[in-house]
Amino acid sequence: MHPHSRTRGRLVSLVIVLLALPLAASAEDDVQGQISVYTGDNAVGYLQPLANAMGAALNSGFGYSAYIPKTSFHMALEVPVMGLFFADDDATFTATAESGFQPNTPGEIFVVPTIVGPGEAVVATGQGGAQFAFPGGFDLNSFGLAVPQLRLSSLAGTEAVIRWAAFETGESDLGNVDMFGIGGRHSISQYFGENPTFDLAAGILYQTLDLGENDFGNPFVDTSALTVQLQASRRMPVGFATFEPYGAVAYESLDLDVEYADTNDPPQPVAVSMEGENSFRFTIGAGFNFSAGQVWADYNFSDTSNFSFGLALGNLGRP
Amino acid sequence: MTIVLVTLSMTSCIMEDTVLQLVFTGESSVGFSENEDGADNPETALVNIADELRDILEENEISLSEIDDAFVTSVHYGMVSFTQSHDWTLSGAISVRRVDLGGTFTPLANYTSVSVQGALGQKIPAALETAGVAIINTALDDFLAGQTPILEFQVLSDTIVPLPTPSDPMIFDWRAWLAIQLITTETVEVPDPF
Repeated sequence: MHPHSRTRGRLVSLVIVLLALPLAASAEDDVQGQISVYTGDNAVGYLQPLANAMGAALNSGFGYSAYIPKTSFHMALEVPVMGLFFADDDATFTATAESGFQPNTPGEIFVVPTIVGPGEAVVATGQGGAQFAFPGGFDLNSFGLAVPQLRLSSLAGTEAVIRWAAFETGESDLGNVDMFGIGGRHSISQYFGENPTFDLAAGILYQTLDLGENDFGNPFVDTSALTVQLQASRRMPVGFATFEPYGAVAYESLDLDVEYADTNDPPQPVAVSMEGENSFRFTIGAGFNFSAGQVWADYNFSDTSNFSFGLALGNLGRP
Repeated sequence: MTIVLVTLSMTSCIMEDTVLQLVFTGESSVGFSENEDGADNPETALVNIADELRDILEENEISLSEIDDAFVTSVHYGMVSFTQSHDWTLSGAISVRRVDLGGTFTPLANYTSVSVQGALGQKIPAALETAGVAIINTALDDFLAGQTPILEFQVLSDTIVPLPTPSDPMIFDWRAWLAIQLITTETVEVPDPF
């Protein structure tokens, strides 16, 4: 037996909008291969850190200012970048025996890598000397997502936000990427008078994201995310720009369905559904508005905390 | 689109090489036909384990030299056809030997009080025996070393209830599945943007 390693030239050019999505970025085929030995709770345990990360990221970058003009035309093209660092306890999960493998002790559990965990497989020995290899992870430290976003306003203090990205990558390992998000925000503070102490806006954003293709011609990953947000901000002129600290509270959800082929001959589809662990988040951040756009950065406190930052270019209409 | 292309150009800066062990699982099966009118006669089937492994390698586009390790994970059995009017209960063993080395049959898995009707269409995990597993694992090691091991499997039910007779023969087909895992090590590019 000779350990061997090789380097695969992967699809850097195809990462595009999904800046750092592990499933899509480097090795979707490898991910499908790794998870093919898992069903049920083991599959959920292997993928859960990724679901949490995708939920935290997708539900970020929605708003960086609660100010929305009453009625006038404004448009901005934005690139929010959402990221997080994985915690140490994201690296492993407790798995049970699979595929008829019979451990020495019935019900024995094994601490094994998640998709973001160490790359080394964990090999367990069971009855009769049979062995089962729990696959390694992809040894990821961080996660990032950058999405093009179009913001259109305003009608009666209401703006629309659209996120969209779609790629058909043919014979590549990446498969297809299909993302769409639509949301809207409405100014609450417009009802507080001409010069409210702070701006307040409420919004909702719904997104879908399909990634890859499995052996049965269906998406490997099918995701939907929803966030409902209440945001407050205050505009403070500083020289040529406007400094704008903001805070927000939000309810959010992420549903992630994964379908892949198992190890049977012929392969059978395995479908796994899971949810991101975040339900509520508190955001604190700040931005600088200038004549042609805005930059911002924030931190989101939740079960899976994350940060986001970004650039908006366009006619934002910020006073 | 411009922003997309800018983002695209950034991506090469955030990719990192990481070494990971990939696990491939393959399954081989052998079929046995029973037609007994008395005590069971052993049924046998040959498996060219080298061919089976080459199929796994081909399906997963990996070469022999890339395999770090290979081993038996599990054995299942089940009935694939049975149409008789009454059930049979079997106890016995699945054994294995190396044909290319002239070995003798060694128990691989035991089955106890198995209902033929109950096992129809099922894949039932078998309790494995160390000696039989060792024969297959050695065959896998020999394959990795360049040999072409050939295994012969045998099923023999030493207890059948009720005992078949010429007027009431026991007729069914069954199958045993052998699951094997292969481990390879690869370096892949993964995104680590921060």
